[in-house]
Amino acid sequence: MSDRPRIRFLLGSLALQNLGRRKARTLLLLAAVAVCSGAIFTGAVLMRSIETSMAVGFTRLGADMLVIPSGTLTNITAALLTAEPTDLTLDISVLPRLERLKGVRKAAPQLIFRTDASGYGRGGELIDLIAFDPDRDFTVQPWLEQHLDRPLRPGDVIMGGRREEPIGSELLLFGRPLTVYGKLGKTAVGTHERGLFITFATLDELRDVMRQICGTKAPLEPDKLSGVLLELAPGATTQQVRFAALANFPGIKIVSGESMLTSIRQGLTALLNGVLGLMVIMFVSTALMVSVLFSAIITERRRELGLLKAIGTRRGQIVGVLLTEAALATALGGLVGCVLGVLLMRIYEHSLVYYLDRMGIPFVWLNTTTTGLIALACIVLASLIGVAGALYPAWRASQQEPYDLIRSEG
Amino acid sequence: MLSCGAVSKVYSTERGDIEAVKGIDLTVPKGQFAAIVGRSGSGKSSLLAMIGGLSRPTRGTIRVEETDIWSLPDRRLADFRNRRIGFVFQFASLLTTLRVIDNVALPALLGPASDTRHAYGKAAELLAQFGLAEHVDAYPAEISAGEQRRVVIARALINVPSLLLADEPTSDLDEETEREIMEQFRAVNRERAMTLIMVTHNLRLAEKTDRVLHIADGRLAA
Repeated sequence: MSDRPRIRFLLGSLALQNLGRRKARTLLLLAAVAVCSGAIFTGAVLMRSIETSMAVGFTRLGADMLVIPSGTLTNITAALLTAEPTDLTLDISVLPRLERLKGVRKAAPQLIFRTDASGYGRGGELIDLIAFDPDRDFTVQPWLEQHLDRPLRPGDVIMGGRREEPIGSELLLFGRPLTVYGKLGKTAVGTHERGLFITFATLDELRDVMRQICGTKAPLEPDKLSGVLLELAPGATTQQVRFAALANFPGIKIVSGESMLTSIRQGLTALLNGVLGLMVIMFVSTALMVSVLFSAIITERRRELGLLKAIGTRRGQIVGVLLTEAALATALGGLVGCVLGVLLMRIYEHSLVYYLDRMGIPFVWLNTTTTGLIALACIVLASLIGVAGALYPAWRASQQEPYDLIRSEG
Repeated sequence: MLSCGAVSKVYSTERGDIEAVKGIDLTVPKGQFAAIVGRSGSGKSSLLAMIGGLSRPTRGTIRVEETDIWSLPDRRLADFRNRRIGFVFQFASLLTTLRVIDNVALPALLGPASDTRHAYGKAAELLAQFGLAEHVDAYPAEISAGEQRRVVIARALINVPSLLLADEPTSDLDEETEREIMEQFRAVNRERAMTLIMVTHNLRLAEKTDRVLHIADGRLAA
C-alpha cells in the first residue's frame, strides 16, 4: 500500500519546525511580508469600497437616468442623488412630457437648494434642502428608516441618514417650525445623508420667507426643478430614452448609470494605476528579500538537505520542503498584514470616511464576504511571493550533489 | 557486489583542479566488511561518497549489485540510495526537529511503496534491537551521542540495504561507545550478510574488519 500523507506530514513538519528554529529571522520575514500584503489589502479594500460605493450608490437610489439642465455641473456624489445645487433649473413643464416619453416608467422631480441661511444647525451651517414630489418619488421614501405613524404631509421634514434630530421633534427652518417626520437610512450618498427633504407643498409654504432671506434666486421661483430622476420601463434601454429625451428637450443633460460608472472608473484609473505600480514594486522587492533570506536559510541548512538527499529524498521533495516553508511563512505574514490592515482601517475609519466625503467621494465599507475574499487573495499572493522568492535558491539546492551539501559547513 | 573501475574525482577550486581520487579499481564481494584507511585528505571520504551515489565521479564506473549507479537518472539514483544503500556519517546526522522514531522511519517512508504502519513498526523493532526502545519518542537532543549514533545505524538499516557505508562513524565517540558501535556493525554484517565499507583513520578499528584498504594521495596502496 502506498502511503504518502505521512511523508508529506513529516516533510511539512520539517518546514514548519525550521521556521520556529530561527525566530528572529522568521519574524523579520513575516513582518516584511505583512507590510507588503497589508498595504495591498488596505489599498484594494479602500479602492474597491470607493468604486462599489459609487456604483451601488446610484443603483441603490433606484434611478436609471437623471435629467438636468445642460449647464449643471455634476460631481460624482451629488449626481448620484440629483443635480449639484445650482441656480440652473428646468421648467416643470418638462415633467409631464418626460413621463410620456416611450420607455420611461417613472419620473421624479426634485429641486435642490443649498443655503447657509436657513437658521438650522450651528450658526450658518450649509445645508441641502431637497424638495420632492411624494407621489412620484422613488428615490427618497424607499430609504425611510424611521417615521411617524401617519402619512407625510406639508410642514414635515425628512432628515438625511446622518442627521440626529429625533422623530416627531420640531425644528426651525427659515424661522418656520417643521415636524421631523422621519429619517433616511444610510445611503452612502453624501447629499442624501446630510440633506433635509421636504415636499414641494412644504417648499411652496416656505418659498416667500426663503426669498426674503436668500433673495430671488432661480431655484426659488415657482415651477422650477433642479432635475428629474427617471426609472425606465422593463425592456427600455438608456440609449433609447437618452436619444428621445435629447431630441425632445433642448438644453438638457442626461446622466445615466453607465456613464456615471464610466466617469467614476476614469477618475479612479489614474489613482489605481499609481497604487498598482506601487504594489508591483512592493511585490518584487519583497520577493527579492525573501529570495535573499532563503538563500541564507538554505546555506545554513546545506548539511540537513544533503542528508535528506542521501537517504533518498528526491529533488522535487527537497524543493517542496523549502517552498512549503516559504509559503507557510509568507502566508502567515499575509494573514498578519490583513489583520493589521483591518485594524488600521478601523482606527482611521472616521477620519478616512470624513476626508473622502469632503472630496465628494461617498464611502461604505465592503461587505464581509468581499473583504474576506480580498484578504484571502492577499494571503495567497503573499504565499506566492514566498514561493517566487524561494524558488531559485530551492532549485539550486536541489541540483547540488548530496556530498557537496553535506561537506559544506554553511 | 561492488566494483569500481578507474574511478577518479577532480574538484575544481579557485587555485586550480585537485584530483582527490586517482583511477581507483576496487572490488568488494557481497557480505565483506572492509575498511578504507588513510590520512586526512587522502581521498577516502570522496571514494566512499562516489560509491554511495552522493558524488559523481569525474571518470570511471561504479557498480553496486550489477547496477551502474552513475548511469541512473537522478530520480532513480535517489530511489537506489534509498533502498539499496545505508549511510552512517561522521557527524550527528539526525534531523533534530523530528523524533527518534521519525528519523528512523523516514527512509522507509520515502520509498516508492511506503506504508506508515509498516515503517513505524520496523523502526520501533530496530530501535528495540539497538537498546533504544525507551527513546522512540525522544528528540535527538535528549539522547547521548552514542545513542544518537545507534539511531543513525538503525536508520541506515531500515530499508535492509545491500550496502552499508560508514564514514568515520566513531570519530567523536568515547572508547566504550566506539566498541559498542563496532560490535553492532559486526553483528549486522554477520547476521544480515550485509556488505559494509567503513572509512576511518583509526588503524586499530580497521583491524577489526575483514579487509583493510589503504589509500594515500588518491590511490589504493598495495
